[in-house]
Amino acid sequence: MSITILAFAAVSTSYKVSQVRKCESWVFLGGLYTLGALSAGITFASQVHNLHFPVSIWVMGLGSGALGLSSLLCFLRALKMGGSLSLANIIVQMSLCVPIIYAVCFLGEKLTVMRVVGLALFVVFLVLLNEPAKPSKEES
Amino acid sequence: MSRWIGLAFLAMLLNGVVLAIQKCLPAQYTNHFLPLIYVVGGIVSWGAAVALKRPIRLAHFGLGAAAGLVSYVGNYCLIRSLAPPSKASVVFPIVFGTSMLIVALVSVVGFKERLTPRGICAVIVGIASVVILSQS
Repeated sequence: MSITILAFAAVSTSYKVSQVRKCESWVFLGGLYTLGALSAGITFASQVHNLHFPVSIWVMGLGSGALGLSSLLCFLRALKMGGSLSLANIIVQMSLCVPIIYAVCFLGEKLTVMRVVGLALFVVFLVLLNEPAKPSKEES
Repeated sequence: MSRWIGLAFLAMLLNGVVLAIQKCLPAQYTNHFLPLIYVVGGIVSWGAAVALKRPIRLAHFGLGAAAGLVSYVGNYCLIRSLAPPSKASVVFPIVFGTSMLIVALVSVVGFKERLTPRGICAVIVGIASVVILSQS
C-alpha cells in the first residue's frame, strides 16, 4: 500500500513539475498516455481471452478517454494559472462525489450516514475555498 | 473565486463522470475498457501536438512517460493491496488520505505555496471529506 500512496503522490506532483518546467501539455500527456496504453495493452494481452468488444464498451471507453483527457487538461491549466497544487489536487479527488450522487439519484442506492458526513464536509470545503488561500508567488 | 478554482472544479466534474461511467461498466470488461481510455488519450494528445506544431522535446515526453509508468505501478499495487483479506473501505481512505497529505506537504515545502489559516482548514476538511467518501 505504501508504494501506491507514494506513486499517487508522485503522479500529482509530476503535473505541477510539468507546469513549473513549462512542459508542452500535449507532449507531456502524450508521454503519459503512451506509457499507460502500453501498460494496459500488456495487461490486456496477458489476462484477456475474450477479444469481443461490445458497442457499449467502445462508447464508454472512447467517451471516458475523451473526458479523462479533458479533465487532465483542465487540471494542468489550473496549475499553469498559478493554482495551488495542494487545493487543486483535493478538488479533483472530490470527483468521488459524482458517482455517489449519481448512484443515489439514478441507481436507488441509499445515502448512508458516512456519505452524508462526507458530502457535508465537501460543502464546508467549498465555503472555505470561496475565500481562497493567499496566492502563490507564481499567481502574483 | 479565482479562475483556476473554476478549472479545477471542471476537472473534478469531468473526472467524476468518468468514475460514474466506470460504475456502470460490467466487471468482465474492465481490462477491455482501460486500453481504450489510454489509446484515445494518446491519439488525441499526439494529434493535437502535431496539429498545433508543438515542439516535441524528449524531456517533456520523458516526464509524462515517467508519470504514466508510476501511475500504472500505483494502480497495479492498489489492485494487489485490495486482494483479500484487505477491505476496500480501509485501503481507499488510507491511500487517498495519505497521498493527498503528502502532496499538500510537497506543495508547501517543495513549491513554496503559502496557505492562509483558512487555506490550511480547507486542506484538512477536504482530505477528511475524501477519506470519508472513499470509505462509504
